[in-house]
Amino acid sequence: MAETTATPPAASPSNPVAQTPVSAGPVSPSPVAGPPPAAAPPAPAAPINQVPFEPVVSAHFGKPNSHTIAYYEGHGGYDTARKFIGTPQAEIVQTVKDSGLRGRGGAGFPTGMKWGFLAKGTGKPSYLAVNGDESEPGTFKDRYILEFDPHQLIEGVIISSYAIDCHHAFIYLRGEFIVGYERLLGALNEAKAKGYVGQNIFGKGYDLKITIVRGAGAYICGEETGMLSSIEGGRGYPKVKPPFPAVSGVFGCPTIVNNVETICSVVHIMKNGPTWFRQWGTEKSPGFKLFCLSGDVNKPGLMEVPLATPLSKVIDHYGGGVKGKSVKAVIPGGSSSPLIKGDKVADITMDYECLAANKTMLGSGAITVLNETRDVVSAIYNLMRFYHHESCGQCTPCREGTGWLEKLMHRFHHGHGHKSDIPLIWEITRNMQGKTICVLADAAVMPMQSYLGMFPEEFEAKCQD
Amino acid sequence: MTDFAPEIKTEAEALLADFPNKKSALLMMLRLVERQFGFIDDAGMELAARYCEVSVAHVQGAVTFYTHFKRPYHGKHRLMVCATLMCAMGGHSDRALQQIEARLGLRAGERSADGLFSVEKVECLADCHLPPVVQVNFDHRTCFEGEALEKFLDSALAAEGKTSADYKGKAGVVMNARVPVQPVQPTLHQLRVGPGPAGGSGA
Ligand SMILES: Cc1cc2nc3c(=O)[nH]c(=O)nc-3n(C[C@H](O)[C@H](O)[C@H](O)COP(=O)(O)O)c2cc1C
Ligand code: SF4
Ligand code: FES
Repeated sequence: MAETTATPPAASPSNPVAQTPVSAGPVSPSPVAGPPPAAAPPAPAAPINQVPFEPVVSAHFGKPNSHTIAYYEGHGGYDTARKFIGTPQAEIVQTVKDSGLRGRGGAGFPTGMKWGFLAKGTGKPSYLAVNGDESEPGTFKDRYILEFDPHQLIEGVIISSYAIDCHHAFIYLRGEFIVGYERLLGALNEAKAKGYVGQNIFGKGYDLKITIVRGAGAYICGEETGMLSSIEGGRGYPKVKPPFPAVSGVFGCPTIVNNVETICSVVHIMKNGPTWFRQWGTEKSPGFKLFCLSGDVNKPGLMEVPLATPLSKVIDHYGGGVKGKSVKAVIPGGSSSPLIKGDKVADITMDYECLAANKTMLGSGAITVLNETRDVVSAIYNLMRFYHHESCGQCTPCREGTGWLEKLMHRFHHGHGHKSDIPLIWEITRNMQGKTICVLADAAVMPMQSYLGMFPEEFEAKCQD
Repeated sequence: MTDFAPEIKTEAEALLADFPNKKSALLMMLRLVERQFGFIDDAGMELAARYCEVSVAHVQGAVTFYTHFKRPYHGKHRLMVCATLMCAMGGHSDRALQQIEARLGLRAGERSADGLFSVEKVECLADCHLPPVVQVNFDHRTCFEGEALEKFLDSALAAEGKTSADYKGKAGVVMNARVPVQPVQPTLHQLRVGPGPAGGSGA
């Protein structure tokens, strides 16, 4: 990297998170050093998140040389993989099931259950494909895992591949990740040189090949089947489901797709046990997660907190409060998630159930705060432009629908809307939902309906008649 | 026939061995083409097709599907400004674009006539807490407006032996990131009356 570009708070392009807050969890001093022993499960009725939390997946972000194998092994790295390679695979899958870990890529599907769906005895090889496409607007967590802790991901890939009995794993990165790719590649070469990846890993007779694939700028390659098409060496066209990837995925073989953060969490669950993981969060949303805070807050940045942390605490405590007078609305889980209105923020906890009950979703954990000055119409115009640009074009309702919505929002944005356009918007969105190969169309419809449904007066104010 | 330089050729062969079949190595192969030639043009696509044993049509289909590959119509200094909501909402993207226009006379989607600079709007670059995020060729820049951007433009212009005066007031070449540059002529299609900005009755 030639020039240093940074204005504060960015440190340097290759080390951009160094000065952004990676929260240290609740500030109350913990009497116990390190995680408490796994044998002390919290009583089920006890109030949640009473156990002090220290960052786990992001523990080493921003530390000098955290991406090297010397640093990683100096902090207990690869011990977990060494311990579990060679043990019964069904037990690893069971541990992940018991932990209740849910996918961190967007859909929140239980990871252990997904692993259990992998088709067995097909006579074909099976694959693990790690999703590092990270293109959902607002999300920037996998970037930092790749830049600061690539070995954590590789260890996760070793354990996960072994658990599902696959011998070839792909890690798919979006093409724009340059430092992340270089560091992951460097880490992979270090791990290969030590014999942690390749033939006869840890002398336990297990072989694993890891291939890194770089995308080239397409949001749709984050959709799991789109990513698999891209790995196959062509356009990133999603495929009809079923068959699901676990039955027929990349190259027509059984494939497990998991997000980068999901795979990293597996390492810590195997190391400390499911009971440890369940100390935080709720029954249905156990554990902790990386959240990406952006928009109108005083201290935007990345944080790792227990699930079910109140949204108001995320904004006020970790985010340094709203920038501006008040919160107009919050996008809780990336651009595809419906809004939360400002007056409801106090009722929200960041877990899958609470957000679903409020007709939105946790998604990728990307929280964007909009203050009272923000124009909802221009925000949705920007997003519709995004979805139109990123639609792969295979399905008519999505290709045309996103285009129509963009055009309509362009019209409203410039104050030329018609009152009759509003029922038209509802009709277009209804004709897009559930009628396409992948859910990009739904991902575009959800914010459109939510913004219009929640702030109809702002759309009416942009009508010329 | 064009071929890779010896050391890149070794990498290309290692790549083919790293994938279950040759076709699947295509995206990574195109990155080698990009590295060797600086961009992906027709000859580069033919080269990738030959190594991956697929048709040139397949390679063209793939290359034009993605937006991040460097193509011949991009400038030597390719500025990709994130224009998605989180960067756009504080006015950050617009300020960066205006600053670039003030110095280079280029608007989004244009390349300077000498081919040295080009500017694009791109979608979320996954660093939304530090807006505006800009990628300059293969470098990732955050909070890239005001002084930081100004300094970069100064040094890029100086490195090319140019000044802002060489670009101000000169029209940029329209560069379509998906279809190579074509003169735009009014056609019947554009006279069509229909919904939306392209057709007529709308904005
Ligand atoms: C349009 C679209 C874009 C997506 N983008 C991503 C992405 O960038 N990264 C990701 O991990 N998952 C993304 N997903 C979700 C994946 O399809 C998939 O559910 C996920 O990778 C599964 O991993 P998990 O179970 O570990 O979350 C996207 C889904 C859709 C429909
Ligand atoms: S829904 Fe949209 S993005 Fe998904 S396959 Fe269809 S056209 Fe492509
Ligand atoms: S919106 Fe610009 S980097 Fe995400």
